[in-house]
Amino acid sequence: MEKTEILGILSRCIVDGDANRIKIYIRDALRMQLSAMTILNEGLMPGMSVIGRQFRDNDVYVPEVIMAAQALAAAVKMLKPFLVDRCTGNRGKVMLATVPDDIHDLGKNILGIMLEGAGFSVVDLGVDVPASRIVKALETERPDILGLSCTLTITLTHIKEIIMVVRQAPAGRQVKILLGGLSVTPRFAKSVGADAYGIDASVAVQKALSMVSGSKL
Amino acid sequence: MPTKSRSTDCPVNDVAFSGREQGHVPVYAQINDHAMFLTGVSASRFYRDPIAFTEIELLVAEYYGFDLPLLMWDVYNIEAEAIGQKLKFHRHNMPDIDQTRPLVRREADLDRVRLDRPGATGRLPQFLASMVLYQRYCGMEPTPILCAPFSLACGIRSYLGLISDIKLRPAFAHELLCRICDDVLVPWYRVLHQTVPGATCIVVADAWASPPNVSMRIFEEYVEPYVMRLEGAIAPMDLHVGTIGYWGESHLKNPAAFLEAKARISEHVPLGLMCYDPDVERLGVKVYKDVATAHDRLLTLGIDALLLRSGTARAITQRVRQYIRDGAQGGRLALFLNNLTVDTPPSHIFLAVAAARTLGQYPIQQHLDSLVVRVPRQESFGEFVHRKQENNSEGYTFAWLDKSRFSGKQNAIRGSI
Repeated sequence: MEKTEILGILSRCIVDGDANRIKIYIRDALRMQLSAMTILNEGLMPGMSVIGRQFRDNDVYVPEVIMAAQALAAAVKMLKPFLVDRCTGNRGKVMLATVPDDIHDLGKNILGIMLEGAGFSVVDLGVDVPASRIVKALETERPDILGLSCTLTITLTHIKEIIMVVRQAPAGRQVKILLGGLSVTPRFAKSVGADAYGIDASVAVQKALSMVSGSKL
Repeated sequence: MPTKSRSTDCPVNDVAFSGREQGHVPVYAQINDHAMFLTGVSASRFYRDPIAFTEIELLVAEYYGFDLPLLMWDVYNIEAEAIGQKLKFHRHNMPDIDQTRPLVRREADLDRVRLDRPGATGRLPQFLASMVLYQRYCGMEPTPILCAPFSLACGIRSYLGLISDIKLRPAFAHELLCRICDDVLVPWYRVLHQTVPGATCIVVADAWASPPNVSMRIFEEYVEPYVMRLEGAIAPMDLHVGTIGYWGESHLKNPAAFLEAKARISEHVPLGLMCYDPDVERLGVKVYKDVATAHDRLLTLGIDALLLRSGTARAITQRVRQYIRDGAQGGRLALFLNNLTVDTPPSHIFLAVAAARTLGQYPIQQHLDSLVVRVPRQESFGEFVHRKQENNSEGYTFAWLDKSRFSGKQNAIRGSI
């Protein structure tokens, strides 16, 4: 099998959300001496881009994105031993959390998988995370980006409170803040002083890449 | 549907909801957390104490002048908790299912999906008590609002788990939904019907089954058939089931097809075909009105909670005006204020109600832009509660006042919130 052919199959496995088939072809690709970075950047991530585009165009829905993310997670797990110390986290570090009183984590988890795939190191604080824990983690982890997720309209107020607390803390003055989640809107993100807003995981990854490269959001 | 609310003393209830073009476009709301915040009662008490929950919900509905007082408990949690699903109770917001700890983790857990003592577990007794209190206080039949099969499956299996089942183990997903209908909901509805036999429709909320959470294919295979299964099982009791809570049609290439499906399974809902922002704002009212008219249904349009929270007075009035102008011709329109946040300014809510009263007066004026919306001067909620205590025609207990922000502070009542 040619390099381009197997990378195309891997991309297709992501689009189809086929976590079982992808494992077989990852093994094949590694046997063919393809580097983990090549597999990731030229096979898996193009597949995620396709899914992201299809989702934005309303051609597929959340279930397809979930299956694609699960396939990506299975593939990244297999590639990890070959990526360690060489490329994982070379894009920067992202810390993720869902705001207090909100225990919905689906979007955040998909974003975490995609950020790892894009070369970020990800620290996931989980759900229902109070501001004090976020500030403490900022001090120890020193991430480049803080990603906050909020699904419920009724918990939106917590985002504003967290950003205020984070900005007052020495460790939080420079961190870039990325917002996402069902209830967040671009206008709201701007009003609470966030640096960027991602309408979906795919856009959020692009925003994160722009943030660390210093390009315009 | 109620004929007259003693609590709000609002005669439009039986008119506007019946479809006649009289009175004004009614307005009502989902108010749980906002109502709780107004009184300062803790979430742990509010969501566990049927007296506190019912009295506060009714008082707040009357305070704002809503045309229909609704009791919307934390609807997605009630049955899940009753069969053993763990919830997380928050200090200031409604409890929520912890989707990271689903009741059904593996196939053997399917045996846990049954209601052994219908009406006696979890907060089902409190729910039943609140229905009875509603009858007593309002003098009309309650509309029980609970959780639909698909959303309940998401609650006890997790959305992620259910979607994986649908994609990889469809037979398991169907078995789970069958058990939810046959072994949990139908036995529960039987008890509910015995307690409030006058309630003819059980309204079930199903937000999880909305696009883009689901595709039309999933909706048609895993959502609609199970609502119909429930309907078939309870119809011999002269009881019906109907759904609300679907949003997201603006994510579809053919929103009308989804609205058609939505209309089919909400046929018996007294609140009509309920549709919500941001989809209504994105797609415009016409597509919704067309479907509602084709099905001879009341149309309820839900106004964006964020607009109500932080929009300008002009923007809020404009949204109400737009929906009345495009949706009220021919009658059969109601406005719904989507889940009000704790920090929604009361002045915004009063404004939305005043706008509905002024602009939604039948017959609808041709030049709505020329009508000025004036909000009457409002007493504080504390003053209102004080007044209600002195003239307590409903027979409220006010037993929750001792744990409210008004406890032992008669003076504070008059001046607060």
